[in-house]
Amino acid sequence: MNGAALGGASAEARAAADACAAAALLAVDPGLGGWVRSISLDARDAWAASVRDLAQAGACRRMPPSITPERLDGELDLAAALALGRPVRRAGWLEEGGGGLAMVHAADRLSPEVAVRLRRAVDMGETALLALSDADAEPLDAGLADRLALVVDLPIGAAMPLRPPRRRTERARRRLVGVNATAEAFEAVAVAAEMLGVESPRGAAHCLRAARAAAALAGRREVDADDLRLAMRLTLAPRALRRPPLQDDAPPPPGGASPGEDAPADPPAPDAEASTQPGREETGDSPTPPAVEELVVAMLRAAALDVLETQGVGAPRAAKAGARGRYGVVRPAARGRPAGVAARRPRRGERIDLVATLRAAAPWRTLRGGADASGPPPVRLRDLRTRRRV
Amino acid sequence: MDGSLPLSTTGRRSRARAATAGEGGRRAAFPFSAIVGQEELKLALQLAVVEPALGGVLAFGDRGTGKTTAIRALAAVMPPLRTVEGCRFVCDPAAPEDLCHDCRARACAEGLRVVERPAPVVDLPLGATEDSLLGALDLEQALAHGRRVFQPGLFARAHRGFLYVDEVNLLEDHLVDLLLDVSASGENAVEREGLSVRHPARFVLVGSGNPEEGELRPQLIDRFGLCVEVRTPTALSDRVEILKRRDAYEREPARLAAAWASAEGALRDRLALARVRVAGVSAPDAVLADAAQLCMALGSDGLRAELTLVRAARALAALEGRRRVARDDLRRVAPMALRHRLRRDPLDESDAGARVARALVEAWGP
Repeated sequence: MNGAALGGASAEARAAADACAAAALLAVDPGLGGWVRSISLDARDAWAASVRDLAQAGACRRMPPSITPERLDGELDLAAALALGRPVRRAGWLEEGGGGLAMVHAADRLSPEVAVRLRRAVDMGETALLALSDADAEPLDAGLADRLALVVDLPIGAAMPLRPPRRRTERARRRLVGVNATAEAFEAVAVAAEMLGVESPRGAAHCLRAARAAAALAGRREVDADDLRLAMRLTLAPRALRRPPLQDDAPPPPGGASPGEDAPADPPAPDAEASTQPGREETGDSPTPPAVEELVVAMLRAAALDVLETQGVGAPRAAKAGARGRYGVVRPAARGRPAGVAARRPRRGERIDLVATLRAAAPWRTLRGGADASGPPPVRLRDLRTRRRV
Repeated sequence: MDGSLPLSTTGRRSRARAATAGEGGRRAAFPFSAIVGQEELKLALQLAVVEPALGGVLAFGDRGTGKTTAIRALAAVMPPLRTVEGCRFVCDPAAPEDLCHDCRARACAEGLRVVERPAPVVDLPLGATEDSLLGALDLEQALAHGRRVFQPGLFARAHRGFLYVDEVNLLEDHLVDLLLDVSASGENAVEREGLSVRHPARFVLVGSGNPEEGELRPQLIDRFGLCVEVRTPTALSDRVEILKRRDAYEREPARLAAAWASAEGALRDRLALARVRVAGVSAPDAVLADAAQLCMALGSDGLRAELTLVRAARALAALEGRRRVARDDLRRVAPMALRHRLRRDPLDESDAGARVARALVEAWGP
């Protein structure tokens, strides 16, 4: 954020506009998913609130980062099971949502076990995920971050621009299915991903999906250069591992945000159009790559550069993310990875495994004089089972 | 875990869960034939279908490269199984010595009725418990009727099919122990809580993971017959094609599935045919000597390397409709069969696949 502060107010205004656009895109297509970082809790809350306002009613639910894997997947409902004398399953958090957008504040605190399940749920389309975390906190689980399309660094202090009206996002949601992308758009996205060194093929897929949402929001039936530019800023640029080869024909932008000041308004539009038109004509006889590359370079120049500047590319946070550190840490008894069940009373901070306890008690029911076979089996101290963690 | 849980959703059971998940946006799998590139992974999985005795496939590699997609897609092209109707353990009617207790009783009483069913591809979630893996006392029967009944676990469900562990390197140690034990013996023995049950559990173990996130235990690595390294495709045309198909899948999964249905059907037939033919593929002595020579040159531990190498080569020959294994088959399967069995050489830090390739060239020329 310091880089942005040095760059002056314009960079911040631009970052705020990006953040606002990201909220609208997420409301149009929650399946994109997002990872939002800021050092200000208020900024994150305000941003999440704007997504909730714009999204379909009831589509967003807040998920506590302390959620347990059992709660996420569903578990045995002990109260009901004991009352009815047969196992009763309580639906998991994800099932209850029916595929909506799950918002997790302090997402860096998700346990590795939960993060792994969420990866799968996102893959299978069981839920969409919006992760919000402190910019200085531990990075998000790397596999999970890879599955979230939009990566937004919220500026602090900059006023959030007005969000688009609700009706517009509603219309865009309906329009989304019919939005097409040309073969050139596909190619441009793939080239851009490669130029920025975005290794995971998911990066390009995210970019295209975001561009579709942007086109729907703008009322278009086809993805155009503006949509691609916005999508690149929000999906590819934050994941960039290297600077694209722009220096040779463009003046190097060491001033950071000074070109950014008017970049969003004036230069990109004519620039992109200028390179789009000849690009199409040239494809007739010459191989496409040079033309596409030119087009993409022009787009990236307009789209991604100042994002790269403020982020200091070479050390993007998304790439550093890794769960490795978490596994090696020695943790108190209440935490750690579950390692089965121990036949002993719970020690400090441990929890009883009720199912295992009941299971241990069940075979003794008749011997212990449990006359009524309908109730729960009588439990003795030696039946107690404890969840072990290492 | 307290007594005041809201009871609004009670009464649903696991079967209901699968149904609701289906309505709640769970999609059809991506077609296996539509996966761009990743030839080594696709070949390894096909070989594992043709020759289940190979011992499974380990897919290690970068994020987002289609490991999970390929394995989930495999279920659709696996040849169906013949099994005893109503059997909880998916018994094979062609192997009478392996029948479970119930099926033996059935065979004596009225004879076995044979049905076809799709081969199982069972997911082993990281958070599985010992009980859910091994099977356990059926709580409903125990609590309500005081009866001791065994409820089969994931091992039973995966019998004669695939057991898939995503992020296998993050699997908890106590589950890895169970997995090692059962996959080595091919039988699941449950001796706990007053139960004494044995049932066959022979499955093809498939694991995937990202090595950056954690190491895999050597014993478990050794269990996997084939090991493939999955890389991000580098050619631009491939990346564009991936993007297109992925996009088509995300937007209209049913349409993509329809477009690839005939390719999927052809692959399914080919696999079924190869599975029948593999027993008849012969391996000449010269090829066996070649395999042994290669393994010695690479200094791989144990005899499992040679066995796997030859089995994989036979499966490949069967898949391609040949009756004899040739040296070329060995050459093609050697990287995936041997990559994970090399002794660590402190003086040679190069990639294991490259070491196998070098040994191949040294042994048999380019």
